[in-house]
Amino acid sequence: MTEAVAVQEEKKEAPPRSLWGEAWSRLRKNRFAVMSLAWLSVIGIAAALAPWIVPYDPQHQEWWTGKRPPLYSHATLELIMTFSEGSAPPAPFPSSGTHVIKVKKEEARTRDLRIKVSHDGKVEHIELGPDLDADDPHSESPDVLALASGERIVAGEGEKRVAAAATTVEKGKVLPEPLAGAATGQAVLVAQWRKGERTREVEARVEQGKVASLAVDSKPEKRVEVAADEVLDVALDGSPFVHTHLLGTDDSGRDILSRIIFGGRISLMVGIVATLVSLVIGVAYGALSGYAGGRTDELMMRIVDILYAIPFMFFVIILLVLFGRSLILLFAAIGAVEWLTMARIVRGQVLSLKEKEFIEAARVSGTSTFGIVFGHLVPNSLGTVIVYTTLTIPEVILTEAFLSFLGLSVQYNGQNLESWGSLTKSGMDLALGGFPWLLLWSATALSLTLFALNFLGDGLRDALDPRLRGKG
Amino acid sequence: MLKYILRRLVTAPLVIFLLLVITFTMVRVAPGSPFSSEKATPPEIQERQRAFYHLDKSIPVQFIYYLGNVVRGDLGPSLKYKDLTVNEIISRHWLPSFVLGTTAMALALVMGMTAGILAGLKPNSRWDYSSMTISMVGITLPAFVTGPLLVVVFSLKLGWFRVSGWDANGFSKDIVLPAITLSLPYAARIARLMRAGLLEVVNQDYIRTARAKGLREHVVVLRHALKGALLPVVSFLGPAVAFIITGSLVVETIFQVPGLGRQFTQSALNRDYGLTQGLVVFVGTLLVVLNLVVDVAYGFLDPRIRYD
Amino acid sequence: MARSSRLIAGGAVLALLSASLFAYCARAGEKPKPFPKVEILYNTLESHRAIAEALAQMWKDELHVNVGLANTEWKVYLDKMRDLDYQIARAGWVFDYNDPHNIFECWQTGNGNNRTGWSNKKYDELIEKATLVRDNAERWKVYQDAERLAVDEAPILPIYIYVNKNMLSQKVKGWYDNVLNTHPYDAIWIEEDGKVAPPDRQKLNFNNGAEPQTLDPAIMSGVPESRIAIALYEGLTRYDPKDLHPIPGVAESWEISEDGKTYTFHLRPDARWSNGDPVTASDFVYSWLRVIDPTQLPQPAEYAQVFDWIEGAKPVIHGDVKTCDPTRIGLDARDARTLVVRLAAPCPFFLNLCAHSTYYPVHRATVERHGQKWTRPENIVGNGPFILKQWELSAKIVFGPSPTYWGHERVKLHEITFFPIDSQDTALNKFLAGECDWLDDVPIARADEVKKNPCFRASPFLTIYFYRFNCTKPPFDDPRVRRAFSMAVDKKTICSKVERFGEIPLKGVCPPCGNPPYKGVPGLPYDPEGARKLLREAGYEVP
Repeated sequence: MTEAVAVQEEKKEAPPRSLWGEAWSRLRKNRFAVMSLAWLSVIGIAAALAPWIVPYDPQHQEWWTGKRPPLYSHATLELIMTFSEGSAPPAPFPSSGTHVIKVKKEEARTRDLRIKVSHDGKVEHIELGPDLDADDPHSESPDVLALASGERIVAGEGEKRVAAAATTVEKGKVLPEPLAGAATGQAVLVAQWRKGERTREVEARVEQGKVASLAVDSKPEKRVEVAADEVLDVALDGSPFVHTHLLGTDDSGRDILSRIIFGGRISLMVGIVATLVSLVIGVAYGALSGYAGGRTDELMMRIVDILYAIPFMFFVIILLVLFGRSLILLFAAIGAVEWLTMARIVRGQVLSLKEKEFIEAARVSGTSTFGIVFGHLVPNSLGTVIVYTTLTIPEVILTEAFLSFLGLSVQYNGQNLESWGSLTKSGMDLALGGFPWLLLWSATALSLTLFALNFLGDGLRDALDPRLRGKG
Repeated sequence: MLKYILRRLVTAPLVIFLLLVITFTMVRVAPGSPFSSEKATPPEIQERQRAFYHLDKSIPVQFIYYLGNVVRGDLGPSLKYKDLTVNEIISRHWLPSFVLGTTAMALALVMGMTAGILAGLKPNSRWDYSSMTISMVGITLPAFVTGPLLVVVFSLKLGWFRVSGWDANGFSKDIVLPAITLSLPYAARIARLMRAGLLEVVNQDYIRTARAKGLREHVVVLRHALKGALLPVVSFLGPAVAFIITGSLVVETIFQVPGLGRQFTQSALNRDYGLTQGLVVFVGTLLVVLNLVVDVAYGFLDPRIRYD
Repeated sequence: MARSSRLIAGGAVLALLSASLFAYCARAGEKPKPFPKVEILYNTLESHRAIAEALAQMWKDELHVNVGLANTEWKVYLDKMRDLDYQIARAGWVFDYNDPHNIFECWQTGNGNNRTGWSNKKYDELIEKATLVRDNAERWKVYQDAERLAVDEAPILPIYIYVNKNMLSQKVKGWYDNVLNTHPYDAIWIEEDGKVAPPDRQKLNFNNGAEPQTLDPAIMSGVPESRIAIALYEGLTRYDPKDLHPIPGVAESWEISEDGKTYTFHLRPDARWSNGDPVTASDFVYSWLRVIDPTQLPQPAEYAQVFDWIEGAKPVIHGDVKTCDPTRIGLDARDARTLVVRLAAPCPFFLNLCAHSTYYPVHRATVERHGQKWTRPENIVGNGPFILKQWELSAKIVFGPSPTYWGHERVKLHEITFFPIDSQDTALNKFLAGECDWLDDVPIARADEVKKNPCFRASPFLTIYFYRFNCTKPPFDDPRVRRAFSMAVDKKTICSKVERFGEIPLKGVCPPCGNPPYKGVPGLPYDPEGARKLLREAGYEVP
């Protein structure tokens, strides 16, 4: 398609301009290349500014809010939040300034409950999980579960939440309402047995970043622990304190948007740095080989031929498994694979350029070999190099994605650096389980970027060197 | 030509030897032992294990010993699969990879060439735009995106294929999804190459002559233009073979195909020295040979190429 | 006089000075020091990281100690554990047999599985003493004394007892939840419409999670291998599918001598190999000697140490005696159907060991004829309820019923297929698509989805999750520090908030197991205040 555009382009002879100016005007007329450039700028800026623009910490796990669809919002929480007088408030709350934090929580002694129900609504099996407050916690499968006073069975979430009190669940009998309603269309009712429920309100006044006073149901306390799954409501300075996840959350409740932005940072960084590594090696090697010519050239190119035959991808895999998944190793490994083609292309350019008059002139005027190679030959083959670089970046990004798909995502300080590849991998596992959006976002981000880079590369090639059009 | 082939045949063992040296040193220098496990094995027993696999000797001695076996075609024992030799593991895993790879390649050629010819014969037509856009999508969608999407649609929603599985008794419909997944990027590339090649060839003198002679259009296309346009496709096949082998690593993981690809990462993770080395030697040899075949084929198609 | 008095005065001043200097120095030594930064080591896995993060947060909140996380790849992690190259490390223990001894022996001095560097003479003695006690209720008391010592000195931080996370198709019957998650296939059948399904539909598809490393019972060590071994072979005893007590296998009865050191097994007359040969006492002697004597096996047996109990075996297995003299090993095939086993000590759970895969017999003629290739489908001969029919590497292993098995009338399954799928997500999808009837694990990330499925079965599993302290290096060479770190951990929070399947907090070092069930000691309490006090006592500053 881009070629087609460029074919028409060429026929209208433009007034003579500088090579770069002409190329730029040609590129600007290629709609796809411009759109690609726009997309890449957006992604590039987002990736560069990631730490400042992401809505949430991409590593922050809240598994109880996991696998939620786009636009999900919930009260802001940590697994356990410990307020104690005189120290800074716990993590999600601001640790500076003066604030009032109000947390409404529901305390209870809970046990997990699964009730298997047959087609006709009769109870088949009752499974009561361990009571962790007891001395000897263990699971049970009683035939009858009679609720004493103060005990409730709660099932469902959000608006569909129902609670049953003073009732009996018995094997072989029909499930009592409202549990029966909650179990409609399900073979298992997943519920919670709760005892001694009570709602409490924790109020913390923060002054200059420290908890100045602390009260539970208006009674002063020194220290209060709040667990995430007990919380009903959180308010900061009178307004609800919530997180909204634009693209939803992943299986551990991490914000997908933030993860994709950070993932793009890794993917693009690997793409650019590894390409630069290959650029430096490839250009130097190719230019020297082409300029030297003769036996040296032949030997150098023979080495490239031999290296071409080595399945480097396997070495990269083995290397990453055996010696740890460090960024440096990854750059070096991918760079070492990609420089070969670059070297060949640059050599070809140099071979055709070195017979030109201006090189002859430089030689006569006494410029050193180094000066000729890097002062004249390399700059003059820049157009081709730029085109090829643009096309190498998506390839490298894809290689990294491929490696992280195989579980070899790079690590830094013991943390996995998630890239679009590894996000897609974990998304895939869950997409198959019925959560397609987890796969969709990262796959789209990756594909669009690869798409854009390819279009831009094609466009650049058309613009810089119309003769090369359509190769590959 | 003959000289060229001969020279390539001489460098081939060199390449493989190089591979062997690198892999051999790499697995031995790496941290972690093949015999460590969650439950401790008494040191005496571990010592015996090392002795059994000759790992108690110095690395050069081990290498010479191993090299001797490789020359005789014996890739040695697997450290993890104790009942099996590396030869057996490879011989019992290569077939699915091979079947998958060749099917995908054939599929890629058929799809890519059809799309490429359609686009190249009528440039700037609707056919051209749509097939080139689709092929761009094919290039930019990696296998690990297309694969799962196909599974979601065709296995989970429509129930046409199994989620994973492989029938060892030969072709079955289990191959459909993995082969499509693996072939798409190559089909896309071939389509683009084919189109570009056709565009270039169509304007050349011998085609004009053929047309001027009054030959019918499809004869021109099939007999003359195609042969010339095929060149870039053939030169692409060499590296493509290598990519298909690596690409099947991902596809085999997604669809649980019992092929060689999956053994690669696993054997390195298990520190199965024998298997890792054996796989590199096997795949390396295969690549060298296939590249040679492609190069020779290229020479036959294009008499202008001279191998000096 | 004056001079001497001056001398005395000078001496006194000097003495006073030095005394105060000494006191100052001593006080300087007592001055609380800041707690060094410590690091948690775990092998790379999301679920381990979640727990490590929770622990780090607890230690920071309660003890004001900064804790870093370090994860490494599995093999490197194992090396670091073995070399005691860590400070605090995640660990797990899957029981080999249903007896507390299996975990208690780990913390003996020099035990390969200790890996904490902890050593306590009294503890070692108690564990030795326990093996001499034949009555289990009495033996439990000895273990409780030992457990008290281990809890007190806290070489490990116990966290929780695992649960089995099985997905079992509802048409599979004769399958019982048990603590070893072991399920003899001869008890299982397929039911359709409330009736036993016809033979051609008696098929069980199971995801074994990995390709078996070997089918030779002598050298196998993993769970996937043992799942296959119970189909292929049968020991002198086998496990009752419901409560796992040893029941007659190849041996139809046995006698145990007064001192508990001599076992006389009577083999059943109808026990046969799959090629029709009778299973004899000398088959067992051959098979067991094959494991004990290192020169007999091509590959060394990783689990050989389970034969340490047999008289004369230990020095041979551990290389103290270079050549094995079979007459000095306590095995005696008195006649074809009588096997006498003499033990070095009255191992109270020896009948459980007899059901362990390393104790399974192999067919001598087959092994000798085919060497290392004897486990191939075309060669293999077993004595279990099933025979190997097909083995497609990385794809599936298929078993059919053995017509020569003594209990073949009991066997209802017509075909068992094992898949080696290592991705839990793929396996679960396969189960949901109906391509698989039983999974022995599910992906944690899909807990909510799994719990809504009627096929999901959770039950206690004899496997524990704990952390090791490196007792050889500061700061954890001080038991007070280890105790403080243990007491600052709220296991209930980890079980209910981080884990999602009803894992049960582990109090002491041993979960309830054995018969009658062993009841552990209370363990260290969750007591942050006490923990801070202990840390202060150990000389560290705690705000």
